[in-house]
Amino acid sequence: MRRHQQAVFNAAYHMLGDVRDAEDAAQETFMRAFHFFGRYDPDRPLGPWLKRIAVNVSLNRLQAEKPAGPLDEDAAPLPDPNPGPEALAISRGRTDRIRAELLRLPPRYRAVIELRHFQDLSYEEIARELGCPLSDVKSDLFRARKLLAERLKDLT
Amino acid sequence: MTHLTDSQLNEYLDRALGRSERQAVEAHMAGCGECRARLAELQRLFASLENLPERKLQSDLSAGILERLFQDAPSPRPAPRLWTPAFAAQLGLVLGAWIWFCMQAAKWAVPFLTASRFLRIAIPPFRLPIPNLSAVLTISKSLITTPPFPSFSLAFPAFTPPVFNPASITVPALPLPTAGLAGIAVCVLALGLVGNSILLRRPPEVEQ
Repeated sequence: MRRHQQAVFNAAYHMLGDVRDAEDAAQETFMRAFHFFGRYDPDRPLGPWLKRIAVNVSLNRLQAEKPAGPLDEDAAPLPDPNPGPEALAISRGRTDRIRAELLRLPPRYRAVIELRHFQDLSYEEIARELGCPLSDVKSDLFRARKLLAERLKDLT
Repeated sequence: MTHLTDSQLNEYLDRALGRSERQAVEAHMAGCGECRARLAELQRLFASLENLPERKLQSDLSAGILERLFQDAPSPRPAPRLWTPAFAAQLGLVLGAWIWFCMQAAKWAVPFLTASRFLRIAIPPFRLPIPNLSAVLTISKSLITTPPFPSFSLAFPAFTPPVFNPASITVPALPLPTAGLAGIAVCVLALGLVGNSILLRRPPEVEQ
């Protein structure tokens, strides 16, 4: 448990963007892993399996918060024109800026980015993990990248 | 000039294209600055994501996980304890009273008859047998007046089994009337049923 908790926490943190929420999601991930341990294939490494559960747990949480959320990037919150001290602190560094832009993505986009870029899953594996068609995975991933690239253009 | 699609650029970077498609994309980019710029933009994004540092976990989660595991575990609900010493004693008491009653009624043959009857009737297990007293008495009287087993002899070796005389069995004789015996039997049966219901009652839920 201790060996994998950092990676599981980070997978949840990429999706949720809040330390407390990510810790809670990581705990839930381990709970689910214990509960569904019969589904784990012992011939494969445990870490990636746990991280995939963490993404699903986080995605469920995000979708529960916003159940009717369409996969519409326009629905993502726009940046505050008069950012307060908290928003300024978030956008201070490059890392924080990337994290903030990731969190502005719709939950499904965050999930495909996490699974492709941070967990190195193929399109087919992502489709299997999220239970959606391959075409949806590609469409979500490419749109998410396009949005991120546009929003982070000023960083380069 | 037809530019590469977003899908082609993404799949190129994800190494999801076949060999011929990959070569076609590379051939196009060699002569198209716009597509090279789009690809470079995507590559920068890939690098930004790849270089995103891990957030350090502030505290060990294992204690909280273990606590939640114990909290979420279903409260243990013990199975009904059937073969407790109290139940065994109660069962022995009921069976003993039953056998005594049968022996009182018809000396030695009746317990065997009622035992076989018990085995036939006592399924499901918590149903206690109800004796057919008149039938038991009739059968037992006939057994008492005639030996239960015919005497026989074996050719070799010569052996004569002893004739078992049921009248020789000494049973504590209590001159109780039939109504009294029936009353005792009913009380014993009632005690058995009440005892069963107490012993097998559902335990109260353990509060979390």
